[in-house]
Amino acid sequence: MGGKSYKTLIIALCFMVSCIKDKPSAVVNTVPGATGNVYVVCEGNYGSGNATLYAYNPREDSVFGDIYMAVNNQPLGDVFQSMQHIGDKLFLCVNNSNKVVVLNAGNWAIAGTLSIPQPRYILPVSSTKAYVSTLYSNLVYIINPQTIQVTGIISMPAQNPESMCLYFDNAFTGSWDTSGNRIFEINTNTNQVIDSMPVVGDAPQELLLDKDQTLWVLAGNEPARAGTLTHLDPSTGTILRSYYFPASVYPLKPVFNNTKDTLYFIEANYYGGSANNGIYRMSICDTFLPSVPFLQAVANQYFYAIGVDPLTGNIYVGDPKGFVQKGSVYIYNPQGTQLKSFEVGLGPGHFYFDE
Amino acid sequence: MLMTSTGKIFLLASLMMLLLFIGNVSGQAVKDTTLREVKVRGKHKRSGDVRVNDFSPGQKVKTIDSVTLQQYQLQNMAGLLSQQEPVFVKSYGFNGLATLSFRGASAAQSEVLWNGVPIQNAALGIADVSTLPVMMTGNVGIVYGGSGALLGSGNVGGALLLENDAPFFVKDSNSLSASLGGGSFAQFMGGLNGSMSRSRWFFSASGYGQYGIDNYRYITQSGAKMPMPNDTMHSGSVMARAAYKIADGNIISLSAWYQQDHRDIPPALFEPYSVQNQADVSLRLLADWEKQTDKNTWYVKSSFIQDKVDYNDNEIMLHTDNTAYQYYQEIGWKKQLHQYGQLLLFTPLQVSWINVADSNKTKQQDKIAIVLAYDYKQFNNRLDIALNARAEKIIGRGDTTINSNIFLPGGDATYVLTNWLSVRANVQRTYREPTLNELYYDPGGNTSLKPEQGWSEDAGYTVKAKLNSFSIYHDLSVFNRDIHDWIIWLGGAIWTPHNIAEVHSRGVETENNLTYTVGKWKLHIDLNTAYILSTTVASYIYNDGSIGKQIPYTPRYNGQVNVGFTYKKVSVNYIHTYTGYRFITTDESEYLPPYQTGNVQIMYNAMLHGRVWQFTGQCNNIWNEQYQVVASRPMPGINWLLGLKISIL
Repeated sequence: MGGKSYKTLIIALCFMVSCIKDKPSAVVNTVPGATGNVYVVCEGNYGSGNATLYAYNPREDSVFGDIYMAVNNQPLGDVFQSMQHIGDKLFLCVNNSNKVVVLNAGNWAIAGTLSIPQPRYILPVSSTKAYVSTLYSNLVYIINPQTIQVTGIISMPAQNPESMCLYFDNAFTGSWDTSGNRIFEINTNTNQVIDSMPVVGDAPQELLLDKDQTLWVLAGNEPARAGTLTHLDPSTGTILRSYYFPASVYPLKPVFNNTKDTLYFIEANYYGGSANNGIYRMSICDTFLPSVPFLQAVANQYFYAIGVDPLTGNIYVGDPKGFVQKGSVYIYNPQGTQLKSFEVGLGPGHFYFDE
Repeated sequence: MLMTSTGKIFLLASLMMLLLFIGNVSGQAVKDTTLREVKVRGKHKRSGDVRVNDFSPGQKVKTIDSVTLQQYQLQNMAGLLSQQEPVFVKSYGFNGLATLSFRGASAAQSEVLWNGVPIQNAALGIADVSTLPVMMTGNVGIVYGGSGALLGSGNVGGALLLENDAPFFVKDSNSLSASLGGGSFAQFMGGLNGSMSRSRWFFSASGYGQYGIDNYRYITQSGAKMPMPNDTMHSGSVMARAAYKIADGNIISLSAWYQQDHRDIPPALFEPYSVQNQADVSLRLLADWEKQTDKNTWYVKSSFIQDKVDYNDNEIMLHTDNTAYQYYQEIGWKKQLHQYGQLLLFTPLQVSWINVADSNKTKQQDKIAIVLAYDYKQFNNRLDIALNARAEKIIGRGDTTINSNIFLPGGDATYVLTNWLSVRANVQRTYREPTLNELYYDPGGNTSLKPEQGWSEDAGYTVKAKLNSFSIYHDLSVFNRDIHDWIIWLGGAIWTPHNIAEVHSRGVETENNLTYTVGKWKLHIDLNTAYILSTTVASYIYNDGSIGKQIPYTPRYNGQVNVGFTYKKVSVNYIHTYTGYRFITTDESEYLPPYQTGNVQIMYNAMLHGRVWQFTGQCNNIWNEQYQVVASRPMPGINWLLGLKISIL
């Protein structure tokens, strides 16, 4: 072996055995100002207990997080599903930790905790009443947001109430259960289920009202049940229009724009393909589902969160990147031009505009 | 620059041709009638598996000594390996699921073999080593590094070898021993081992049972100290073996191993409570025939394995009851070609299947292969080279049909440079077909998955020396492995396996031992270390933050120090383990801190009333370290285990 080769071998061996510093860089958690925030609900990696609360402040153009850890010095829990601002408090549904964490809205310090199995969404009814839907049960919990107490339980006729919306004095909720195709109406004064009405597909999950106060219901639970979208009049139950997604398409998380006349939703391709994968949008007057995405997700990417800023109409999109690394948030203007992107915690699942 | 696959195959083929040629030349050379004094170098038997023992000379194989196995006889493989070997045991808690990671490989890339038969769950492709009692095996070995050609296409990172002692045929030889133990967390365990040998028959039976309430105290996320709830476990394991000597060197044997484990799964730190539980039931049957003559050995293995996993979580109304089946068969022939060379030819057949309850469909994966291995020794056995190659056909039957033909070459060699120094090297092509679960799990199975494939290389040296009362052992290995299309599970609501474009693993392992013997005292200090980098090189994921980052749950640093002595019939050991940072995300944004455990062991053998009494005591985690191997799954603090084994016959 020549001298040069010998030296090369020595250098190569040195590189091979030179060690990398094991201790990672310290994580710095930051806290935003009290107002003007777009909260990013980061589910975390299911089963790892690493859900986080992030915030983006559009005025400062700054990202903050993990807010809960920074203020309370403990992890939030497992599967942070949704949040709601009621009065001077923030209510955080931490699904797989069986709790609703209540924070002071001004400083994010823990104000209390509600022990509720598998909480999913919160619907504010009044300053002293809110409903909490749950997964794997037929229960909607009644809470008093001021005293942070469970004050009652509503037994629904079907499992998995999921999302809820308020229509005058009544609340509507679904049943994300493949064996049923009805949504239910609750009188918020009596907390009684007073009516139910069918939609065109099983497992109604997401309900929201448009500018005309008509109801849009996304149903389906792939792969057991294909997705459907039902447009109906909540006062009569009359179905105004119905939309059917092709089999093996996973529609998720519909939201309205700030004028509530355009519906955005996600189609997620979990298997790495680019077909039926992206953000879709349609007018409330459209007779067919859109076939071309408004924002295309690339192969091996899918979106998991969408929100429309009520002030600007900008569209916020969350990319969970497999839930095994920091997620990304992309902001687009209503024309679909990307304005900004930033990193957040694991699994961005929802946006909450608290501006 | 790494050699291309074609280049490596060409190099291996050239070496094979060269060896065959040298073999012929050497065969002629022995016709020389001049008698020369030769010193034949022998080596201790590394494994009962002929593939490992005779055809893997350049592969690092570690055999755990029988005294250590005695110390752990009432425990499971997870406890043994985490304290004794620099492999990472990913444990979800005391008595919880525990999987192996060799050299930065995933659990599905780490094989577990029982008497040569793979016993990973046929659907999951992984083995839970917390359910494997040490008492059920006579020998435990670890093969470091891939050996796809010989041990199968799923062997990427290494293999754990569990072997029963070979049957023996001695007239009127009987043995019976009973073991009892107990310790912290209301642990009770007991076992019986017996054998009966006659001139043509051999029978043995082993039984092991364990009960425990793992109600150890742990620190919650809010800092409170709480007893662990939902923590009861009980398990039982029975093994029976029978062998018949048809003639000298002609033996047929049957083995049956049944085990059942039930465990409540305690809550993770983020859960206020848990009602989860899991029951595992495994049945393993093995029929084995072997016939040896002067230069030939024929063998047939045939096994059937059924693994049932019943998981319940009433909180979320989740009840899964999955049963996986495997039929494995191997027919082999070993031929001593000449003084220097021997040949092994065998044809493994592996059929794995699951029945999907909802669709009433069967998903199946068949692997049939032909394997040729050639071992060549020269220079008075100083040089030992093996070349091997596997041609395998994989047929998958499910929602999609898989029909793959793969070729896995490999080669390894060792050379004894001096009486105290030997060197070795090993090159293997690695390949792993996606498991049935990865392809068909509902929901989330991904039929578009590509198989993992790549090359692994390792080299090392061993120093063995005796100097007066001192004996020194030092072994160093350097390895390198590139895997394309590494499979990783991703997802939130629906978990789905995906391919990572390329993962590069490399590292250094050392094994060191210094023994000092004076009179009846024998003092020793052992140090095992592993430094492993396993990083993502390329990804299919858009804007992936994992490039250049360590694969989750692959500690870079891992090691053990074992200090102890033996005096007459007493042995005392202190084992200190260190496990470095484990990242729990692919971009290294979240991690678990390192942990160290101190463990003290005492063993005393006494002859009382004509019987051997063996007392064992163990104090684990003596420094009461509060740690988690897996995020949010706390491990126990200081705990005790006392055992007694009586040799009745």
